[in-house]
Amino acid sequence: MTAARMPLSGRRAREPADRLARPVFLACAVLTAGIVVAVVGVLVLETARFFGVVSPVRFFTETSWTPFAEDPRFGILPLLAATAQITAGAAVFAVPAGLMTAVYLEHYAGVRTERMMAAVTMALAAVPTVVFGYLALTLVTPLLQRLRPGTEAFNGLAACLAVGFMILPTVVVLTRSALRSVPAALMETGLALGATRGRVVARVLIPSAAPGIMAAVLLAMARAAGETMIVTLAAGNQAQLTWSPLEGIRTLTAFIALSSLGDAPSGTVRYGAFFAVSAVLFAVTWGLHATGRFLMSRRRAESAA
Amino acid sequence: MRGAKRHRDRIGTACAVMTAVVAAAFLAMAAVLVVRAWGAVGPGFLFDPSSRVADRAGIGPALAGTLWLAVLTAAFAFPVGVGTAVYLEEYAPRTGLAAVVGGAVANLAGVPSVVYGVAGLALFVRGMGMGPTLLAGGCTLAALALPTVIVTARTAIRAVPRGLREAAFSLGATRWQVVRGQVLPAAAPGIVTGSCAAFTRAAGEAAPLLVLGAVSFMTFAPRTPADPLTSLPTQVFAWSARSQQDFAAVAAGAGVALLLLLLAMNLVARAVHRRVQGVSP
Amino acid sequence: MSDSSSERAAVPVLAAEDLTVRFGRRTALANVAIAVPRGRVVSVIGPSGGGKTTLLRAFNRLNELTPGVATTGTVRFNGVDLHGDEVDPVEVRRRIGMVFQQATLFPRSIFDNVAFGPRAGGYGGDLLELVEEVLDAVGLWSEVAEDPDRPAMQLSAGQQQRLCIARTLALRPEVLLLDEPTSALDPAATARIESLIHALRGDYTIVLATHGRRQAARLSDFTAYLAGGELIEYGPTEALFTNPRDRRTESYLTGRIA
Repeated sequence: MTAARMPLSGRRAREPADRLARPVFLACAVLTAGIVVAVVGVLVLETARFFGVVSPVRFFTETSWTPFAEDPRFGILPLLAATAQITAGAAVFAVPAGLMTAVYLEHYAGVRTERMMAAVTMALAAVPTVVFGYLALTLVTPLLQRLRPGTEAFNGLAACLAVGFMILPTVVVLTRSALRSVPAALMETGLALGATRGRVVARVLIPSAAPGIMAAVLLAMARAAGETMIVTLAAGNQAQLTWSPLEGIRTLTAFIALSSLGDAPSGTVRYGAFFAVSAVLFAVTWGLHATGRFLMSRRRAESAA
Repeated sequence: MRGAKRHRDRIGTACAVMTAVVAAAFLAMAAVLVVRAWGAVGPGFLFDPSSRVADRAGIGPALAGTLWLAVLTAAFAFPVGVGTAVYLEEYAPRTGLAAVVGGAVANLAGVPSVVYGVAGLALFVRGMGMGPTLLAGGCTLAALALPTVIVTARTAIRAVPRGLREAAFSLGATRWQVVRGQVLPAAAPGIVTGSCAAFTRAAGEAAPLLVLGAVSFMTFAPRTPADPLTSLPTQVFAWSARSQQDFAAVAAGAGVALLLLLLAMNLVARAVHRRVQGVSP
Repeated sequence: MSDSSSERAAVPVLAAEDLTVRFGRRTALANVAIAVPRGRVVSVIGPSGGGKTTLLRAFNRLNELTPGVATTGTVRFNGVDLHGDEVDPVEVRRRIGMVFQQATLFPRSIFDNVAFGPRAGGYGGDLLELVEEVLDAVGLWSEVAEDPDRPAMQLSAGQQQRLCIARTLALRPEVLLLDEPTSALDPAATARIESLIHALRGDYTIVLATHGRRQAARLSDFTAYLAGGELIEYGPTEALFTNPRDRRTESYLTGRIA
């Protein structure tokens, strides 16, 4: 053991891969950061330029959106109202359906049903939204027109139904995980006290899982607000303020997708309008998403405590 | 606890009915698509170019475009995404700039795809002068998929037991040897599954490509990334928009083709997943 | 072993001075001073959370992998400051091997587990020979010789821990840090590990963290009693067990502190 007396020999030359690893991974992270900054930056810059021409006050208060007219108006309210209508309408369909499906799968269904519905949910989540848009336009709308003859060829209701169906998997999956985070002992205690399964679900489980379910709803609504293809195909192109779900409307996303943006010359006010609308859309979805994530993280923190 | 009595209460019955409605709606949707598509599928539907006559329209260029886009997206987003995840989890300090980047990335995963289209138009199509090409589409979809790749890869890396890392370090491994020899093999199944889901999702996107200026009428199949941007989802959109003019059936045909393509991508992902899982234990 | 015994005594293999380790606000070790003489077995006893693991991990610079750790004071290895600018932590960990409480095997074959360290260090010799030698040293070769390529996870808990020791021996370290190596094992497997430690003494300097007071008494030349992050008492094992100088040590040894 003569080698045992050797003092430490000092830093040793590493093989090239060892020396390269850190800078290469760092470069990836820098590139990612660059992409994040570029995406956010270009939105902010073009929006700022747009607001240099169009006053933000008028942008958010005027009720007329006619960017292609001789005397263009940039009042975003009709677009915002349409997005709100689609988002809320989709939630009206998706939340009860998703909640009930989740409750059934968690607390009633047998193993086979559960597996089959899990597969259906996964398949539904994988369907591209343009396919839902096609079905909304060519299947749902004709059915609605047969039920209510006055229904327009493009209408908010068909889009709401299709968007609701599209966000259903999000509601089901996240609600199930929220329900699962409630201790199983609660259910067993309730049953032991003689309550029916349904009573325990309604009175105990859903209230205890409420923050998680709320998070599920918010994340699903964020997806609904950002959904583009369904509303572009089925909801129409009329930037108008209307309460009727049977008339055509134009959402924030549909404006961006439908106005053949690829042709708008850079630097024009019209081009800037796309970025301003995108920035508003970004803010709306980010707000919903961040609130949902906050609720979820709080739930995790609570269950860990 | 799950006995024969579980359906007896009213809430349970209502929930069962709703679940049945959801399942039925799904089946009806699939049936309508398949029945309609059946009429559109001629002998050359998969390979023929687009046409102004519905009966002769095919998805050849669109299909080739989507395959190109999927490859480009994966080629850009996979290495950068996994590299970023490794840096943030294994190399970066837990606080400061790296934490800010990590948080921003997690938030970007919720941004609507159409917004990436607008940013991609300004950055890639106009800013870098790529024009409305497959390359610009691939870059945009890669930016769209990147946050998901990073988030899932970080989750997979974080799930690798700390003891495995420490054992490797205590055997005199350098950080790179720990990452390559222990962390990445253990995290590989999760990274592959998450990334493939992100790429499948990106390949089904129509909105951002529409914003970039995708064309829906091409007489030849794209051969290089510099060819015009065309894709199956935007083709479905273009034909759906003309559904009044006999294009409803071909739109369904293209939609079914898109669904089958995404399904195939999923199966490939599963096969890869099984392989990496088989290698690592 | 050509050195004279006086020289050996003069330069301890490991010597900590005023060593303090904090994780965030929690102080895991406070002003610890300890010298580990060459070729001996030093056991570190004390209650859980008393700092045994932290002390061992300070000896091969593993603590610094934990975010939020702050280390002050010095640790010398053969007289060289472990935290010096010129010191490579990778070399430190190769020269000062560590075995953990839980057998943390890599999800690979038995052979690959032993070969990991030598491969990482760019071992130039015959790997097969080395693997056989160290597996034999821990009494495992006869048990796995027919198929060293099978998954290491198939071994019993006791075999897994001996494999971990073999894996560390393959680095040809000077010091073995054993962190409660038998606390997860049954009595029979524990006995095998103990006789292994007994066999390895002299060839290696061994620092053994242990819960078992009797294990410390059986195996070690010197014993340190560590509680609340403080080194309460350190001395020859026999003296410490028969005639502790500190009341707290006495309480612990007589079982009044768990």
